[in-house]
Amino acid sequence: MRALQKLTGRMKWTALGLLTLGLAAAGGAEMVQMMAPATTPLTATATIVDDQGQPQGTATFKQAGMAVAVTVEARGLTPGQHGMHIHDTRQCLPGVDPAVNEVVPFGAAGPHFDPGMSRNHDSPTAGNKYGHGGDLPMLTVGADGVGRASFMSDKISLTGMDGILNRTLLIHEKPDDYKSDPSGMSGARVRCGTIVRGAVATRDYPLPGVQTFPEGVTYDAKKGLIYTGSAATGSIYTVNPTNGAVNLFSEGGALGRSSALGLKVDSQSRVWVAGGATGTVSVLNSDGFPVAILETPKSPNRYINDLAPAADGSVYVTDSTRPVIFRVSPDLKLSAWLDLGNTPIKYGPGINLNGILATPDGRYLLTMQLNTGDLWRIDLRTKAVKKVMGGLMRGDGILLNPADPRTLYVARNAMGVVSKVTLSADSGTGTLVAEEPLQGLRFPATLTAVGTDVVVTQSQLDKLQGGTPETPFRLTRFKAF
Amino acid sequence: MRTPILTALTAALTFASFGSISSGSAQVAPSLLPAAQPRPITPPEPAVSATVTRNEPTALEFTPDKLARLKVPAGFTLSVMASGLGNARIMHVMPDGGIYLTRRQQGDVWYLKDVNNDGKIEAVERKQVAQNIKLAHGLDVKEGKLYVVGEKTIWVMTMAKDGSLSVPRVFADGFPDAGQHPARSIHWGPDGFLYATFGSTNNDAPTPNPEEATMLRISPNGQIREVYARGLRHTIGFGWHPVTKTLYGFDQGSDWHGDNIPPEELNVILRGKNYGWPFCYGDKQPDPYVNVGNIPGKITKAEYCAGTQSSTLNYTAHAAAIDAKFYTGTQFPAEFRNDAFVAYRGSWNRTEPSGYEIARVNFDTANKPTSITPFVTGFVFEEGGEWKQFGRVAGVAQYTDGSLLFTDDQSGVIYRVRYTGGN
Repeated sequence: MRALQKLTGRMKWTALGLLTLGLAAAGGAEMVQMMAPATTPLTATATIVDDQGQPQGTATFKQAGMAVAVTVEARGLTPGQHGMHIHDTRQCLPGVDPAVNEVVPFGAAGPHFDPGMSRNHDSPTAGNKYGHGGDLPMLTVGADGVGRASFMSDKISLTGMDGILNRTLLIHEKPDDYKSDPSGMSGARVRCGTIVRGAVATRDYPLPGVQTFPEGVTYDAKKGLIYTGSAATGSIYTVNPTNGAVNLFSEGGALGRSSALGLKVDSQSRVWVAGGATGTVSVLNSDGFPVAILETPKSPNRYINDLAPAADGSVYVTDSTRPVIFRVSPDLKLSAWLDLGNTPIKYGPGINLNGILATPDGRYLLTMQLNTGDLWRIDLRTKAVKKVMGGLMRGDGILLNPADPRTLYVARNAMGVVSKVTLSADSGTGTLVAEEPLQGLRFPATLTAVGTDVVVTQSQLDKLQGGTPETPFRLTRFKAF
Repeated sequence: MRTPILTALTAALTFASFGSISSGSAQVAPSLLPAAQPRPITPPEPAVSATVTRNEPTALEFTPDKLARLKVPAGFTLSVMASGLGNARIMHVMPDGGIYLTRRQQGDVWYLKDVNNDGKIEAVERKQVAQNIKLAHGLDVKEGKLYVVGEKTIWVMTMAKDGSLSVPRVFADGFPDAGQHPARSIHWGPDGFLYATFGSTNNDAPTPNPEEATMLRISPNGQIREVYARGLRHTIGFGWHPVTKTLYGFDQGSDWHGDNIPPEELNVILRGKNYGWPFCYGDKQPDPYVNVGNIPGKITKAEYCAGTQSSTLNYTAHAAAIDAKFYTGTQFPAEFRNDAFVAYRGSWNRTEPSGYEIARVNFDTANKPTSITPFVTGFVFEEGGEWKQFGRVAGVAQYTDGSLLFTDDQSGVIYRVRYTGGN
């Protein structure tokens, strides 16, 4: 009976057309925050195909404030109700259904999109902490086999943590009971469309491996090579930015080299590797063999995350769980440089200082605190610490635009966007001016400049905690915005 | 402000600097592209049974009367240089004829020298030069120093003219646990780096330490290393071909998968490559007897194996290669030059025993290996329905006169093979 009432309610929604679903309970208030605008209004379309890949309709998505206006038209379906959801990945291809461990149509689209990590299928009005963000209202199909829907939902977005770009809209063969895991007893997957944003151009560099999880990226302009590294294995790859060719540069796994996070290239074309939980800083020569593997003090909480070569030849290193900034001197000696306990930077649970860079004038470090969303400036001479700005939750890697050092880009991993910040001349204050999901980013971790373009890693680090990553793993190149 | 930027952006991205947009059309070396999507759950694999045999031939102490059982090719003569040496494993011959010998069970190093040149190393020509080196095994010499690997440490000692050694110092440390495969090996490479192999702690499942089942490449000062190659279950004998400088290694395949699976491998070892253990053997063949649950990314075994390296040659399963050396001498006929000799210590996991022999790896005129053929045989035999053996061959070395030495680690014998066919 409850299911029937829900059905009735849903029909009212479709009759009313644009109506915001689940507004009251959406998201979880702590995750709701104002996003800066993208460089162009956020719209997307999905060409809906059947399991033979034949077009059978279209869906459109338009960002409207905190919600998304959705229209769906799908053909060739049986009359009645059909479960409809946003799924996690972008691929309308056959793939494994884990419930039966067999390849099924559109199985590669993965499970329901679940940005709130609810691990629960629920109604389209449930908040994302309580039900999958991808739980949409059912599609009603008439006697002519055509289903049409037009609604708004604030469970999904075209940007930010609930962003659905480059994911899939899936229509199932049966109605959705809005409660049974994992998919409301809605049966087989019969229609699928990848949600594609127009108007923004990107180029992907696919990477090898099924467990690559690329976190760091850096560019050696002298050699014309991009380096990226695996958080899971520590292996470092080169990517030719012109033809996309990828080669293994340095195999991971040796003592002190079993993880690679932040990467930087120095003036001698050496590649610096932040070793994450291994607690090391590695310096690799031109053939990928380490010149040095520098150990930080032993601790169960080592988290060497990123590093910043400065004009004086030193390299400054963040640790995301120990409140200290390390410095590696030009003769490759590592020491604690700044005890953050005596500064306004307060470490809390989770990942603290993360991305770090040195300003081109040689005066300051800028560093991003991921768990608080605060951007900090540290004076290299006086070690004075100043908060530049807040509001950059989940800020990970940072990059100054080489052509305009007052423009800072911030990769915001769980938010799935690159934020653009305009800094004051002394880097002491900053203003968030734009936020780009591009074509949809999967846990973007770090950034590097390649000419006037920017390359970002789609690390999928969230999938290290569970779930199945999409392969190939990718770097994504875009024009500086 | 925003709109003009976007217009410029779109135009530039589409036609100028990128070439293609969002199509994923960039080139990647096919071998590096993932063969498949990672799966949400372990792929199914059919059940499979194996018939396995434990067959340790009855061990017999070496006695000189057994020499008649040993066969060498026509023109070669076999003799015993020394016996009673204990767990004689790996040898390194010095230019003056001194021989450093490791004994793994005793954890020491001996210096042997046939001072009176009678072809025998009598007790007065033997001395223990290092001790308390746990699991002492592979050894090599560079610039007046002897390097020995034991368990988790590589040691270095300064050599004196009389063969004696300084107190061992740590050269490199923190290597993986020994577990089931404690026979470690080291050789200085042509690039001046030290190459070392560390076998798996177990038989046929992935292990958490990424330095296990690898060949490591170690900086000249011992301080830094990289994983040079992985997926090597237990590669002990390895070396560089004298002409091509190609690095070859002999890998021991898994136990308990039947009489013929997996074969023993000869691999060309290349930097950054994966040689398949525990999931694949030979020519990227999925091993049906290995569980799939631990494959990274939950891809299928076939998909995993497609990303690994094939062996170059295979040999009878379970023969258990230990040491191997290239022959660079002139005593043997010219066709032997730049071939390799390998000690197959012998099986315990096969109905009809394999190994218990010194084999020759034949290289053709283009210096490519073409086959592995028995060279010294007869250590294992069937008598009255019972398999017996009187030698577990381990170390291989070329002596100063170009004869071939090899050890039996069971009875502590050093054998010598000379070519006498010309006389």
